[in-house]
Amino acid sequence: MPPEALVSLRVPGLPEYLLVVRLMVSGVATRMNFPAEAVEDIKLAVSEACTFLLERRRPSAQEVPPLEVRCHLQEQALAIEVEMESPPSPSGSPAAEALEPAGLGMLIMQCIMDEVEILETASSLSLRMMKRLPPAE
Amino acid sequence: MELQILRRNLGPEASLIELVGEVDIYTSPRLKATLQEALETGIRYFLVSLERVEMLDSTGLGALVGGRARARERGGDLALVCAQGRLLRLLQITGLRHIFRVYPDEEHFLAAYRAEGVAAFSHPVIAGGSNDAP
Repeated sequence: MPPEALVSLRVPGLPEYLLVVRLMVSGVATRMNFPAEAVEDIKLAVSEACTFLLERRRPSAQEVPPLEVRCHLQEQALAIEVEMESPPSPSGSPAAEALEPAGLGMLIMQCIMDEVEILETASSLSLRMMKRLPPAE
Repeated sequence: MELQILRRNLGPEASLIELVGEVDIYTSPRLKATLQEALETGIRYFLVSLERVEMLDSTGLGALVGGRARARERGGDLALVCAQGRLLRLLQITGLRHIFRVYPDEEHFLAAYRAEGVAAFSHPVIAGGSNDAP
């Protein structure tokens, strides 16, 4: 494997595409030899990340924004970014609702991944998370 | 895999709901609707089996918590069948292990039901619904 490979997927930001996203990250995590339990954790965390973004989609948005998932296959970890374009709010400030507590979904992501962070710009909202490979025996 | 929802009545006011497949933001509205439809027909005690669930996320947990709340408003309750370590860990992480009564299989539930009646649907350390027979 090269020092860092990138596998990315872009799907419409609709709930029915989460199955496709889970299949993709499951394949990537299996390729990296994560144990089966960790593969399930990664699938769940990415699903929660997509749900987090879909639930914060602006209801006023006319078009379905794409959801982009990027998996960075590092030597000792899998870093995943999930991003959804978000039109700027009328005032031009970042989407305030993104800063609200995310409840169960965020709690789950934080418990099953090694790192989770929310990034927000004027034009997009994203989650970055990381799962480290367990030390080789 | 998508979600299949199988429902079987356990009594005039009690239903077993078996979930098969994945419960996520796409499929959980169907779970919510199934619980709501059952409540509207007079069911207020639920046993939801997670044994054949392949993935359950926060929206699925939300549907179960909401269904439990609506059942309790009617004097009923909602218990779970779950022996999968992964799902039990999820219930533990989210604090829901202390809210739902969880049975390892349907036989354990039936044994508790024979011994306790409808109290078998409620967590033993949380005040349950009414003591009326289902």
